[in-house]
Amino acid sequence: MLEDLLIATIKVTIIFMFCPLWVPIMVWAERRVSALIQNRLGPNRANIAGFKMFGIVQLAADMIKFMMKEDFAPGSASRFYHTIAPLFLLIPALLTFLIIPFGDVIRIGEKTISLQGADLNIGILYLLAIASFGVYAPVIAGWASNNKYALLGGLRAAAQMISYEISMGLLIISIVMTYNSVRLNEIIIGQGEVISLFGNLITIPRWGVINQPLAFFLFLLVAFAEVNRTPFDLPEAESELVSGYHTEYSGMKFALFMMSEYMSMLTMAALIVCLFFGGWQVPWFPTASLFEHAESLLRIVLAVAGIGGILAGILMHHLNRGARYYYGVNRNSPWVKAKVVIQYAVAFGSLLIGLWMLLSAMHLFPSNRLIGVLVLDGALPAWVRQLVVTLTQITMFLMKLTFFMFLYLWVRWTIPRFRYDQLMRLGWLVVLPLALANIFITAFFIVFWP
Amino acid sequence: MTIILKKERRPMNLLERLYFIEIFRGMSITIRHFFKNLIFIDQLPTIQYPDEHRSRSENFRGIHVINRREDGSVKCVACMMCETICPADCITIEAGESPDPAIEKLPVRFEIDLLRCIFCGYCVDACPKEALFMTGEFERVITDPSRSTIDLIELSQRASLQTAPKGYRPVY
Repeated sequence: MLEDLLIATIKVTIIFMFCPLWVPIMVWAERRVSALIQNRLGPNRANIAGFKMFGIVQLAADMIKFMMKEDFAPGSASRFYHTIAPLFLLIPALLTFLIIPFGDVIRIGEKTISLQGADLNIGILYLLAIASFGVYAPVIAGWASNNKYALLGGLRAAAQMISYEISMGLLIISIVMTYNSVRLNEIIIGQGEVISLFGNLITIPRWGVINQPLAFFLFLLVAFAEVNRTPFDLPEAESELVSGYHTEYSGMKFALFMMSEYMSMLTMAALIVCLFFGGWQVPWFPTASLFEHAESLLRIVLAVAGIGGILAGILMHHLNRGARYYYGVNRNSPWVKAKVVIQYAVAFGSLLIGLWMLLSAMHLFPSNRLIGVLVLDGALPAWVRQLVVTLTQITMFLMKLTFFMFLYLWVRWTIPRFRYDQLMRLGWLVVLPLALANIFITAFFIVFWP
Repeated sequence: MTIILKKERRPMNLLERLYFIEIFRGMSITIRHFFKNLIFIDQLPTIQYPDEHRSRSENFRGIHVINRREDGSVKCVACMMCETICPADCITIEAGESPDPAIEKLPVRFEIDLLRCIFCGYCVDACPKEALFMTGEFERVITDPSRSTIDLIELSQRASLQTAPKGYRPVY
């Protein structure tokens, strides 16, 4: 009992750390990616003793700025609601991520640990329920600010989120019908199977995107609208509404809004990955098969890590050289000189290790002796197998998640904003009927072509 | 009078009205830019200003300089040409008698108000003695409006003149 409590606490803590951790990375990525898309450089000047870390230090500066700012509320605002509004967005954003599985259940002896914050039997319904709470925040913020732009932004946000939530629920129903479960982990396990085409000539993983392509495109659209992200960021359309419902917010309260927006993006991306891209599934390799091939997997993982190390080293060197004045005013400080040495050492070291791993993985060396520490004559101890499999799955999940987070940025800096009537027409007259039709099509296939 | 040009727009065909294909085309453009700029990051047009300077023309009209003769005295003879032509009225000259019998006058006071100056370069054109030039120097912070003028010493002997690039001048 106490053990379970401890495990649950650790899991929840990790997830609550994981979500906010993405925020600075996303803000940084947003700025640098948008800059590169628009042929600019992005923030690369702020530094600590010459260390810029490709502009990440800028975020520390931004964060300090946020914390130093006065906690200001307009005189006519309702102070209490003005203060709690950001929390109404932050808490659902944190809570919804709890049911996202990072990997298959871990079995240690007789004990099983699911890699979710909470393995609820209502599963995805919980997510819908909690996510709906997020609607309150813009409304409360807009109303409490006592500002016409904020109020309009809040109204827009509420209308938009509610109308797209209906379509989202319907799309999730078709997925639930396909995989016959509301628990995310079971949906993901269902996606580990393969579909054989042309009599086992080609096998493709039974991912949601292959079963339900229409649902995927619609869900992507709905996800963008649901988290108020460009092209559907009407609630904060700066050309019309100054900044929407957070016009009157500054400092840390604004930072909370921003953080929770990025965290809801994260949850939505994770949900897309779980429902349509097989979550933590390695394509073609369900968990049992991964356990079976744990040794080859270990070698491949090490080789990939090594190659990744080389590439990271090359990229680091490249970016350093590329940003001509990377070292800025501190060019001659000993810290910076040490940093250059360390960077080269890391890049070169990872190159050597990577090559070694790669060659061992390709059986060019008698690999048992070279990776002898871990490979014990072809039989890995159970805990190493478990570790390798779980880490692979988590990495797979994070890779897919990263891609979808990048997609948010990519779309944002490509597509201009919709008009509000277009948004509503799209939601009610296009997405909703298509989502309903999708349910009927799915039902038809399930009944007549099982 | 405004001229309104009405351009007939081609109606969108079905594929364009579906949006998705056009969106993919747009996204392929942005991702191409992203990777091109990531790989050739050193070819971005951004000038990283404090470390890197835009290359300036040889006739850049920057902060003025008063040239000096071999012996160190200023070439200016206080003829008031520049003060007369100055459209912004920013030059103040007070003439005095020169100790050198070959030269009639010299400036006792020669001040340019940099906040009034519009950097048109007329003063350089007007100068008959090639005494007043401009430099390529343009970075100067004036924190106190009452101290925006630079005097003769600063015009002719300020330290930044050692490294300042050449600017607008009558002889090349």
